Order: sequence, then structure tokens, then C-alpha cells
Amino acid sequence: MNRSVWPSVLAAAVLLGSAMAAPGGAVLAQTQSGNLVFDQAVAITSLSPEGFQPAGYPSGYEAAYAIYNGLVRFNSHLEIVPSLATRWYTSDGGRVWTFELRHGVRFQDGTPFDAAAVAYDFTRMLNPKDDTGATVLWKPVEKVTAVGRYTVQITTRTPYAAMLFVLAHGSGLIPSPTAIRKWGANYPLHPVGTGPYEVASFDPGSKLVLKAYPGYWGGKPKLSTITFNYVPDPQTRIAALESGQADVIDAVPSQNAAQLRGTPGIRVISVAGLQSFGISLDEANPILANLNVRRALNMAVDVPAIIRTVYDGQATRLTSPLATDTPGHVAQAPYPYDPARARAILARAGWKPGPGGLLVKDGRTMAFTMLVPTTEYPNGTTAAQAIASELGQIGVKVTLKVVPSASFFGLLRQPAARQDFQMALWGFNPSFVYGGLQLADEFLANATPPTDPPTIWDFVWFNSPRVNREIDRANATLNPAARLRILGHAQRQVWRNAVYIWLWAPNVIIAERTAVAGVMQMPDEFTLVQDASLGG
Amino acid sequence: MAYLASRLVRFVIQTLAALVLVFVLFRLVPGNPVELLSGGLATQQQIAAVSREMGLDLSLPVQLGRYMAMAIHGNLGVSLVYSEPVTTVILRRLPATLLLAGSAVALATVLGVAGGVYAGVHPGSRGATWLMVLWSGLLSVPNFWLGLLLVDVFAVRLHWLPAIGYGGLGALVMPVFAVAARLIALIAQVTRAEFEDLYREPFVTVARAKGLSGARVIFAHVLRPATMPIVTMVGMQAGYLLGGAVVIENVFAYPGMGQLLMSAIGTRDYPLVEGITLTFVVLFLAVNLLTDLAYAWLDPRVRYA
Repeated sequence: MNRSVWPSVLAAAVLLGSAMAAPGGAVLAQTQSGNLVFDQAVAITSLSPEGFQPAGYPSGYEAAYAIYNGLVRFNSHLEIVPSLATRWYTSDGGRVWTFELRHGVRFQDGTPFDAAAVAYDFTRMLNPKDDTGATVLWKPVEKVTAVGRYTVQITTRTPYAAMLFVLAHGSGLIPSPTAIRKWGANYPLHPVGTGPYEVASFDPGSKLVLKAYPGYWGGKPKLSTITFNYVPDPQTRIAALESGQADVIDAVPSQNAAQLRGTPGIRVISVAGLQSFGISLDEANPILANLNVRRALNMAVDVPAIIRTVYDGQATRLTSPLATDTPGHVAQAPYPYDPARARAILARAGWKPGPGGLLVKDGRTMAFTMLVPTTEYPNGTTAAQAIASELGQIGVKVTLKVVPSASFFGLLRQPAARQDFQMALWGFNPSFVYGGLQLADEFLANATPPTDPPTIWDFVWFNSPRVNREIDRANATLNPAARLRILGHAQRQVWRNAVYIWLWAPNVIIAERTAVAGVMQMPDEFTLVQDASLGG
Repeated sequence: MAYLASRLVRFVIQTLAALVLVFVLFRLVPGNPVELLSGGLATQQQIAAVSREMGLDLSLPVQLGRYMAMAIHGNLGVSLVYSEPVTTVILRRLPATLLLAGSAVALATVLGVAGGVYAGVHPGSRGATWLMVLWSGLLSVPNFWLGLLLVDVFAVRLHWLPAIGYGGLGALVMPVFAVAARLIALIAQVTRAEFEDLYREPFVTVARAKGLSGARVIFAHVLRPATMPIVTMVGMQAGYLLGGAVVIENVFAYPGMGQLLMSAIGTRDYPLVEGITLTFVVLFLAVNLLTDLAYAWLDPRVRYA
């Protein structure tokens, strides 16, 4: 090599280096009015209501709600209100739902919205090949037919109490039939709906930019663009908000909420959530099969104290298997925190303190393994440690088995004999909102024997014929008052059966700049930005 | 030529071995992509049906055989999460990571050589002492922590730089520095040691006695023999650099291969993880190969027969 080349290489490198380090070229671009930036903890990879549905969760749904509309939607109190349907009624003993549709609506690609479009899309949702993610929700539907230009009928096999909830859910969002036909398997990257915003650019897994759809039926959208950024690290999200690079951030850790509240120009929104947490108690285990043991364990955990210390008070104690704000919730009497009574109950069942203070019966020690996901649940491992240590106080040995979040769900859904744990920290978040379906997913007996994996989430193999009957009856009862009464019975049974150590529902915490208005934080975790605006 | 051929054969064997290892190990880790994708609403029956359709129910050797047959034809399969060919997904992210890693090497070489030369030419000086303290600091600080620290100071407090690594030169500064930090210190230490030794060599004394300027002595006489260990260091650290990029990309929400890898692992997107690993392995081996070739080019005494 020619030696005289070296100085020039070096000089070029120095120039490059100094150019990169120049702070002058890096003055912060404050978000301009009309362009909202929303930094999310989960990446958006797919935006079709079909297939695996908008993904990931909740990020994909949040963008989907800005692109699409459904026939109905939830308001901030989780009540069902009209959207693309203006009115609806049931007939034929509750098996037929008739929806009158809004007139003059067009999809973002110009396709007219009418009953034929609804029938086309919803009929696809009945095919497990097209609807892989929400089959359970759509299974009770028999057929969907257009009975007029703007009238559509949904027929269910039996009366289906969850129907409106399913239509307000992400899988009930309505894509343009033209776009579905045009893009085929690539549709998830080219979504077209009737909502206020359409896709400007999409870099899946990293960045989605939506722009206002001028033809929106609900009036001119308030923003020109909404940018959804994937920012996985919570501290980076907070830094982006504090430095003005983001207008809204989600998944704020509860321990950062107080500090952010004190920051000028930033508003923290903390909403009671629907994700109900508990420690599962494996009924197939001979020790935990005893109801008195399960009740005693419930009395050994000081739930309010853990909420105070681990969640900074940003959680609500459960009073039913359902979170307090879940539609269908009926409050039960909480188990008292009374370790002395717990010890006494266990002593009556034959469990006496042995070596090291651990409870022993017939030469057997009361010891369990608790499965805990590493990062799936914020503060989850800390909470699990606190619970294990409280159970240790009454002589129950609990060993934590912390596993990667991606492995966690697969380990839960195994045949009974393959489950090498007796407890698990578990939080169920009902994306479909309705409590009756949550009870069915978690507590309806499995359709298959314990040699198969659990059908959905009854991985504790809970099987009460009475609860099965009540859940089925409630979910076939369209009258809200009568339904609530039956759901109350079912919750009472499950609660008194101490299927879990009942814990809490953490708040959903987001933060935004005070210049932002109209962001709607839903209890089911979704941060809805389609009605947001930016002030001065 | 024979050397090059044998290196290329080894290159292919190493790549295939790494691919088989990743394929088998990652599938032994519990977790089902279909279940994770279905978001908890699918029945076991539905999960089994989709798994069957994706061929995930086949035995591991059969899956591996199918994959290898495809991979040899340059087809890395379709990402389960993105529903796009793995190569498409990777090619979208690769430039960002190459920019990050390339800039980090450039920055580390410039700052490392400059600092190393200074400390080597002025041994025992106060400046040299401070530089050496700084390098120990850069070596011992974990890169993700350095990243968060930089964000706190330059983005949150001073508002000089954006907190997130999207677009623009300014956004690149902090991620590049965080990735480069370790390499800066390593290059600087090697350069300093080389210079301290070389500066005492008779040929340097001769050059200075000829009346050549200090800069000319450094650039024309000392830097060239000192280049070999520096090149070795860069080549050896390439793996660490890619690993560092994975961590740093996640801290800065930088849309490159590292961020892609982390989310692909989280969703058990088997084809995508395999594709990314393959890319990283090829990059790493390519850098090693280039380093070896650079020896011969830099030092005429090195001949590979």
C-alpha cells in the first residue's frame, strides 16, 4: 500500500467522525402541531382483523382502531355504542341480530361500505382458515347475510350474549373487500378501512405512519398524521416523552409514574385495568385438591400490602375472578389476610410445623413450584417473590421457576402430567371485554381429558358441573339483568372454590404531553389515539 | 488462491454448522409460535391445525432437512409474524445495522488511534494518564448502561440529541458511540502499546535524526507497522460489535437487525431467527476472512500458501 494514502484516509475518517459528533446538526425536532407521535412497547407487525388479527398486542389493535371501524364500538366506560351500524335489534328468540348500517360511507380505497361488504368480511371470519386468532369468539355464529343494501343479519346457533362485544372487538373491524381480494396474503401490510386515518407508510415491526382520510364519515380528522413507533425499552420511551420526541407513550412502569407526574408538561393517565391476576392452584395435585388448603393459602397473602409496595398503589384488589370494571363482574367477599387462621386451618387438615418450620403431614413437606414469566407481567417476578415469602411465613415452601415469557404460555398449556409446576402467576386480559367469555375461557371444564393440553386456559383442570352450567346459561341469556344474576352465581362458586390465590388487577398507565387532548385509555389496555388532537 | 479456496470451504462448513445448531437449539426451547401469535384466543385444536399447516408438527430432522434444502437454494422461508419472505424482512433492516456497525468501527478507529498515538508519543504525561483512565472506564461500563446514561444526559437534560435512533445524523451519534465505546478503548490501548515500543526503535531515532517532523515520523514510519495489531483487534472484536449492536439497538429503538432479532426470539418466529443468525454468522466470518486477507495486503512478508 502506498504510504501517502494513510494520512488522507485518516483525515477522511476524522471528518466523518466529527460530522457525526456535531451537536449543531442534531437539534431536536419538536413534534409539530397536527403530527402526533405515539411510542409503543410492542411492535406492530400486521394490521388485518383476519388471520392472527392486528398484531402485536395491544399495539396492532391500537393502530387498527384508527384505520377501521366496526359495526359498534366501546365508549370509555366499556359500554357498546353505534359506529358503522346506527341501530340493531334481535329476533327469533335472540338468534338473529339485524343491523341497520350507516349510509354514504366509503372505504379509504373508494369502495362503498354496505351490507354486502359486511357479509363478505364476517363470513370470512367464520372460516378457521381466514380467522386463525379469534375462532372461539366467532364460533357461535352460523351465518351472515345482506338482507338489504344497508341491512345485515347475523344468525347464531344459540342466543349469543357476547355478540355485540365480539363486534366491538378487533376481530369485528371491517376491512375493504376490494383490498382483501387485491392483496390476498399480503393484505396485513396494506390495510384499508373506513376509519379516520389511512396508511401513509408501514415499516412492519418498527414504524407505522397514518395520515388523515379526508373522506371519513365522522368529520375531518383532527391530526394530519399519527406515527406509531416501536420503542421496547420503558426508560427510552420515558426519555423520548421527556425530551419532546414523543407525544404519547404506553406501558409506563408503576414505579416511574410518580416521577413523571411531577414533570412539567407531562400528564400521567392511570386507569383501573381488566387483567385479573392470581396464583393458579393445580387441582390435580393431591395437596391442593383440598379446598381448605386452597382457602388457607388465600388467607396467607397480604394483597393490599403487595399492591402498595410492589405496584405503588397502582392496582385494584380483586373481589371476583373478574376485574372490578369487567362487564359482568359481581363483587364477592374478599378472603381476610389472617396468617394465624391460615395456620390453624392447615393444622386441622393435619399439616404441622416440622424441621425448619415447614409444614409436614405423613412425612410429606408442603412444597410447591411456581411458574413465573420473566417480563410478561410488569413487576411480576417481584410480586411472585413477595407471595412466595408470605407463604413461607406459614410454613409453605414455594420455589419460583422463572421462564422466558415466550415459553411461559406453552408451558401452561400442556397435558396435566407434563406440567412440572403446581402454581403459576397468571393474568388474564379479556381483549373481548365481556366477563362471561373470560369465565368460559378460564373455568369451563376442558373438552378433552387431562392427557391432552387444556382447551383454552383452564390449565388447573377446574371442573365443576354447576359452574359449567351457569357459564353456558349466562352466555346464552340476552337479558342483561338476568345474565348478570347468573354470572354472579358462577363467580361466587369459582371464588369460594379458591381456584386461584386471588390477587389484583393492575392499572394501565400511559403518559402524554399536556398539549395532547382526546387520547382515550381503555381499561382493556388499548390506548386509542384516533380522536386525539394537539394544542399549542 | 488455494488458501482462499480452503478458507471459503471452511466458511461454508462453519455457516452450515451454525445454522444446524441454531435450528435445533431454538426449537428445543419451549414455546409455540402459533400459540403466541394467536394471542390466547385460539383453542388447542385450532393451534394444532395451524401448526400442522406450517409444518411445525413434523419431526425435528424432517424440518431441518426441509429447511436446509430450501436454504441451499437461497430460500430462507417465510416469517411467521411478518408473513413475508425472511430475506425481504432482513434486507429491510440490514442497511441500518451495517450503518451502525460501520460507523462504530470508523469512530473507534479514529478516536482509538488518535488517543493511542498521543498517549504512546507522550508516555507518562498527564494527558496520557487521563486517557488511560477514560479507556478503563469505557471498557468496564456495560454498553446498555452507557446508552441509557447518554440518553439521560444528552436527550433528556440537554436536549441536544434525540432519544431514539431514527433518521438523521444526530440520531446516530449516541447509538454509534455506545456500540463503539469498548472498541475505542481496545484500539487505543493497542496503539499506545505499539507506539511506546516502536518509538524507542532505532529506525524512529534515525528518522527523527534526519530532521523529519513529528507528524511525518508518526504517519509515515510508525503507524504502518502498528497497523497490524489494530486490524487484528478490529477483526477480533467484530463479533462483540454485532452483539453490542443487538443490545444497543433495543435501547435506542434503532430499527436494525438486533431489534428484529430480539422481537423474533420473543415471538418464536423460527424462520426469521434462523435467517438473522445466518446473516450474523456470514457477516462475522466475512470480517474474519477480510482481516486475514488484510494481513497479507498490509505486510508483504505474510504469504498464505
